[in-house]
Amino acid sequence: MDESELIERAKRGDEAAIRALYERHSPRVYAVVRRLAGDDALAEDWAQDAWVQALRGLHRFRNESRFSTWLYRIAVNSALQGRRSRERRTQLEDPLPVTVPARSPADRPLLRVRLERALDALPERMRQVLVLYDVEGYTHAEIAEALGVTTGTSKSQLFKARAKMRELLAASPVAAVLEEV
Amino acid sequence: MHLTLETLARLVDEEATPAEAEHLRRCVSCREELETLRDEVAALAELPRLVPPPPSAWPALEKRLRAEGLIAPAPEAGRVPEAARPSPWGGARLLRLAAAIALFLLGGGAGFAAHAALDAGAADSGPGGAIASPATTVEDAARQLAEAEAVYRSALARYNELAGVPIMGDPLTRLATLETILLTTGEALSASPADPVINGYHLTALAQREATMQQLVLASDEKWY
Repeated sequence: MDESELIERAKRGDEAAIRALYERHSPRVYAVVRRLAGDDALAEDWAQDAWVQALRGLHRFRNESRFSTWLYRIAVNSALQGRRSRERRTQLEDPLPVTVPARSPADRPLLRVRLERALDALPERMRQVLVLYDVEGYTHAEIAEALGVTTGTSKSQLFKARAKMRELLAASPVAAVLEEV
Repeated sequence: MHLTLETLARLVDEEATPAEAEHLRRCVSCREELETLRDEVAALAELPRLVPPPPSAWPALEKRLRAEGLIAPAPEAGRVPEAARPSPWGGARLLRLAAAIALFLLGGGAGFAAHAALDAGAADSGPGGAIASPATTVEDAARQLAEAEAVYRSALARYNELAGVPIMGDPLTRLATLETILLTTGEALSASPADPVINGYHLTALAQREATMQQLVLASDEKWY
């Protein structure tokens, strides 16, 4: 069944169609939300919020853009809203120390794992900007609009985040990572 | 006096001032640090765009969607269109991936068993025994492969238990091997993008690399992310 038909059925609350859309798009939604959240439990909550918001607003979707693009925007906004409401409720915790680094080509297979861990360890605002700019390809203007800051702030946060990530990745020798395995 | 990390982070995608450029010309250390930053930023852009949510995510979402009335009350049995019903295998792409993985494992299992048999001086059997009746559809074939994979996994686990073989060998060796396979299959796919055999092996190696990375993290008692 093609996607526009699934969407029409999902608008009417057809569970099978909703499940089919979920199966098709949840990995992309979860990927971006997980990186913005920095931990699994929050990511699951925010991904769920994104799907609920998307299904509530599905009647407004007009096939003028791709469904995946529309849903992705909702997922990012949901994560950013989740972050703001969480900021109001709790003090941010200190980032956990992270073990990592890498230089030699032989270490390359572990680079992705190290990057993901270092992302989780970044302070929240830095992580948001770094994920949106360096991972998701947002412009500073888009980030500024999404976060309610100036483009200058977005840039400055990005450079701080990259510097912090470099420090985290260089903080301990490769051997420390291998010893954990 | 070196350039600060924040300055170098800016120079990843912005032009250096004349003074910064002059410093970079003279300072090997800052140039190397900038190169490392560029590598890391490039690697960030290559992080996977798809990360499956945990299996618990759908039941929790489904419950909430029902509570909010976004899922209509369940229709009578048989009224849900077949095409809209999610496949227990997660769709055609996953079906093919499952089939590819099973093929890969069975192939690897056959080699493994042959090797083990030679070592043991026996040569009378291998995994993957007879499969009941030939499949007539892709779905049936994929199910048969998955069943065979389960048999193979079970036999391998038993073998490992009896022979005292660690469940997971050297993970870094495995990763390096998979990287090499992916380089080879990636190049082959540039020349022959539609070849189903190469596609199968490429997808399987990707999946195995993912699984190995997850095992690496799980083995260190850390979260995957």
